[in-house]
Amino acid sequence: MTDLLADLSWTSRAELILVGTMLALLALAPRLEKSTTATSLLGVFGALGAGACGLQVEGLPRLGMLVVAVGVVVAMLLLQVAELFDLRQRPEAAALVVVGGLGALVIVASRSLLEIAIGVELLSLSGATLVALGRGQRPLEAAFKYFLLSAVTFAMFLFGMALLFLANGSFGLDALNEVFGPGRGVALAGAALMVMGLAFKLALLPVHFGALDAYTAGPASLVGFVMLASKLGAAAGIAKIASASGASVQQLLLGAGLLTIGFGVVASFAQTELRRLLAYSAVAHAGFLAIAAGSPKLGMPTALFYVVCYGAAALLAFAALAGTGSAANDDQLPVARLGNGLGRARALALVLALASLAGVPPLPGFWAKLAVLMTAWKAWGPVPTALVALGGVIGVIYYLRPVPDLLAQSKQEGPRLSLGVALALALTAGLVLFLAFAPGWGYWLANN
Amino acid sequence: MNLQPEPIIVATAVFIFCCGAAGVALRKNPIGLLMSVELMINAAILVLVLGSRVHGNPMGQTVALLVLVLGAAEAVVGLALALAVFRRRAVVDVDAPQEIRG
Amino acid sequence: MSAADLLLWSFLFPLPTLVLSALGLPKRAGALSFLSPLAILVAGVAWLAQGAGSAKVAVPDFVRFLPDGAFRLTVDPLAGVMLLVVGFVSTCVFVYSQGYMAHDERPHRFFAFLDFFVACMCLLVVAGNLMVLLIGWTGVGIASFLLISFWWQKDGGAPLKAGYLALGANAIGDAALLVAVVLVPSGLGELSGLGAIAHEAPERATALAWCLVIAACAKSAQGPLWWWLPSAMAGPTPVSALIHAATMVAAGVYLLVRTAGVIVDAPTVAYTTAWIGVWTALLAGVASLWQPNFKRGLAYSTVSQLGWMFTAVAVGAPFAALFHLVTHAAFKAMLFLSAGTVIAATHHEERIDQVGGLAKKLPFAFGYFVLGTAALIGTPIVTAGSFSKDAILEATLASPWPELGWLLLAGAFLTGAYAGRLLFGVFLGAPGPATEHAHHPGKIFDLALLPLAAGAIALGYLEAGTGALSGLLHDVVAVGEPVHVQPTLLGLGAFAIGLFGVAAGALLARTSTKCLPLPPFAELWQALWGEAQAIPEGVAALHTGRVSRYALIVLLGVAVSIGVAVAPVAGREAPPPVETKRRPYVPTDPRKKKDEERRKKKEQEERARRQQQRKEQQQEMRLDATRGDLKPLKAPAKPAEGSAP
Repeated sequence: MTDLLADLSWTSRAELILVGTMLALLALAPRLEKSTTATSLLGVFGALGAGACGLQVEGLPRLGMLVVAVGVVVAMLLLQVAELFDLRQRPEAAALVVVGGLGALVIVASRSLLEIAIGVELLSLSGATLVALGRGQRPLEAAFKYFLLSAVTFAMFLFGMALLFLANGSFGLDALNEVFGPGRGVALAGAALMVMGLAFKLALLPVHFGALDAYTAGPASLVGFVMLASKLGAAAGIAKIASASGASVQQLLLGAGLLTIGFGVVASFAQTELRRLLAYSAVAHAGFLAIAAGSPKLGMPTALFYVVCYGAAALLAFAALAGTGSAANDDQLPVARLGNGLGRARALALVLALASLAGVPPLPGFWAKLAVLMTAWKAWGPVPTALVALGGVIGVIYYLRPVPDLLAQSKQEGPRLSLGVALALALTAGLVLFLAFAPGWGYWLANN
Repeated sequence: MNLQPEPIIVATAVFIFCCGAAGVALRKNPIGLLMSVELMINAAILVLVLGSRVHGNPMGQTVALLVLVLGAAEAVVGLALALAVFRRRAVVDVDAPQEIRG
Repeated sequence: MSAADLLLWSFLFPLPTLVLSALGLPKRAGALSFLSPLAILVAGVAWLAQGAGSAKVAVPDFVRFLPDGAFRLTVDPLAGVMLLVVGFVSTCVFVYSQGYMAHDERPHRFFAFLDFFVACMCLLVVAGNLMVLLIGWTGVGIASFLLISFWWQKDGGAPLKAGYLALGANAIGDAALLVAVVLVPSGLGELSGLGAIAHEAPERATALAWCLVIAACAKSAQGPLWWWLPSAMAGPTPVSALIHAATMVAAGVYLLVRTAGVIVDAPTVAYTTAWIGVWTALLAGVASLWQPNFKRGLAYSTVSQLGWMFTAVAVGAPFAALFHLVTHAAFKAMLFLSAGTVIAATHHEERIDQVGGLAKKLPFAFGYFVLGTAALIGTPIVTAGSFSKDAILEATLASPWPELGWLLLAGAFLTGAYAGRLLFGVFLGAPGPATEHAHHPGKIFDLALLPLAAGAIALGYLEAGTGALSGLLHDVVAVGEPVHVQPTLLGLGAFAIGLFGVAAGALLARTSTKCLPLPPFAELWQALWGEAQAIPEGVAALHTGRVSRYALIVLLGVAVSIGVAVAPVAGREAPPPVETKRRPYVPTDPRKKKDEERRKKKEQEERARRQQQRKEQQQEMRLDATRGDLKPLKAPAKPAEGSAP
């Protein structure tokens, strides 16, 4: 037994820890439902354990595992205020969060298509169910649509994987690029199907519909994590497949990415509600991620760096909205009159998050876009670079719309900050600020 | 006429996949829709088994079984969600819930 | 620690007062805020007193930025002069704002934003590479947005819309600068060494020049990107004076002066920039004549003057541009602040036909406005504007494109006309409806402008006669002809043309509407804007909420992407399904194991034989190649690998 443990890689240990945490949460659910603190602590310990294992890992998976750990911790801290349909379901929600983290981790550490498939499935199930746990009819509707489209795209992924296996005789990622001759077409079709299947999780055009609705209507405290985990997993998977399958898939990603950026930017101008705006922002950022993941060199590190920077800001934005009562849950917050009922701390956090999402230098969102631009310049030349740059900065117009109202908030308004929310805000805001002034460090982590 | 089995099987799989896709696009009943998705997954399974045969690699058959399990898990969650969404509705139509748009 | 070190970190000076203001301290908003720009000014003066030396660079290594990791700060004479301007004008505006914002609901918020602006502006000025510049560049844009939309709920959200316009124009500039950051090869991001790109990477030099010019146009409201500045007047008037007249909009000119080498090395870019500058100067001058709102009239005047500076940089006289930037900062801020006094006195009346004859009630503001107008039209000897304006005119007439100079002379007439219209329309002539209720808003409104007035008179002598400014800057900026104290014939001519303009403006101010009766393009603009707004809604309408529609789009999209991915190989090879390795999978059976092994062995032998064959073929080919014929003697029989035995 001990030998078995010693032989395990650190990635497997992290995965086992997460599985154990999930099982513990589910097994103890009847007891844990009375104490949110205990639930959160259990989840946090699991995440920290996985993160500690992640520190031992060399190379890219390390960053991915750290991101998963931070995401799970933040979700656990927000569990207290989670807008669940049935508040006794907190342990189940926590378990689902852990499952989502596990899915992302499996993809990040994967060496074969099969692992990616399993990771995607884990992400789908946890994402859809977490959204469905939300209060009211809208989360249910969003979860149903998300799930349905996710099932369709997952079937596509499986078909693509099967085609690739047919062409190649292997599920290994390394063998992907060795298909030449008559089977090449089949292999490329398979790669395209798989990329599109994963792109659903990334919220890339034209498979963005489900994610858009889920991020709009899901419970604010959990959706941030769902978004982070899906983006991380999908970006890692796409980067792996794209780098292994050559130019035409990379061009496909560039095209889809540019289209997505344009679409996300233009449609965002019509949005009047913050939750919908954040969902569209997830779509627009998916475009940058796709371009990063599809760049011939440095695809994976750039994509991971992007996920880190974007994820920190998105987590912060959703943490600021978590537990603000019905207003945030029903996403009826008009963008320019947003401040009511948020209070100063949340308002400031939201301003920071929005500015980072908008790509205001030196906030992390900017560094992420710069990294994408640098790879795009090397890979695709001036025109795509200019388009990406324009798409990257024009968002500042709609992201900063609520800012004047948010900055006018006084201390008295808004609900009290619970300890969990305060910790989550501090953690994510700290992360954003750290990445703002030491982006080189994050980039280094991604590149080593 | 020399009919080789592989192209025929691939064509069959693609046909089944397209049937499933068409079902997804055209069906309005959630159960029918989920069944169409299952059809797509079954096409993938067929191709996996074929690949296993072509390459003499048993991995394909193993994965086919695994994919069956994944499909079953999806069906469970999908049916549960469909039930939750349409329990209170008179008409069972996937296009009926459209509160979130724009 | 020398004063230059202090200046390097000047962007941190406003932070204490920013935090205080954000916390709602001190009780009287802004009572301490003016200290931070004053500190910058004092540091700048100390730096001058210490001899202003050569460039001072700091690269703090605790901050690690992309792409080359450097957070590079530089204080050279150009940055020092710019910081002096920022500190000088900001101090006056901060003091003035205490009076102007005294009755506001949230004055602390105003001063916090203003501090944020000053910090970003200083960072922009001391930036040592494009990356740091971009941070300050975007920062001032956002500060500008926050301050324009400071009264965001007023007039049905009109200031907020004006703020969006400013953000939009700035975003275009930011994108251009972002591309410039990516364009510059690593290690060349230093601003002062940017000119070297023409030698190191000539293919990128022109693109870089375009990027810089687009960025500068966006920030300085030039050419096709002018539209945001006039609507930016929805902000409080001190903001208009500081940000939209003296400092931020001049940042575009500052950037061009900094990188003048790159611009001048790309002749097409320089020529285009010069034309953009001249046409903006002329058209903005005309546009100013039909503004019913006198603040907007002044805004167009700013656009026009910035056009003069652009022309100067583009014709290779960056020093003249910078000189005009300095003097213009003083007298235009003064003009805006005296307009602000009028607005404060008449309870936010900005329409020119509602005021008039205010000279008696607001004698100080009138005096400042007269001085400002005199500087604007370049009154010789007594105002600073004349020296800098003449320098630009001379340089342009001496350039390879003298026709631009003649057009600028026509621009001098327009300058006189719009300045005269504002002067006579607001302060002289018949009193308007709002004049009766006007009352003097307070002493601070008069005192805060005194330094600016002194500057508007004396700043010209900083250069004229003494040559102090060019002596300071000659290492950094290409300095042209020395500036004379005695008015040249050209200067006198321009002044005379300007006086004619003033007379024309005075005539215009006697009409009932006090502005040109031309139909404004506002309706057209509104219609276009309405059309443009329908586009995002149309795009977002794709999300109908019907999930089967979504599924259909997903399927079609995926079909298209398969086509895109497969297309490159589709033409070359027919894509039949796999027939490469056909070998039925036979489960390993112990009985058949021997068979299996035998077959495998056979296969291996077969493979080895084929490899041998291939090697021989290759050798043959190589032999051919030595004979000069690349084609193999016989076509290589490509054996199907692993075909069924």
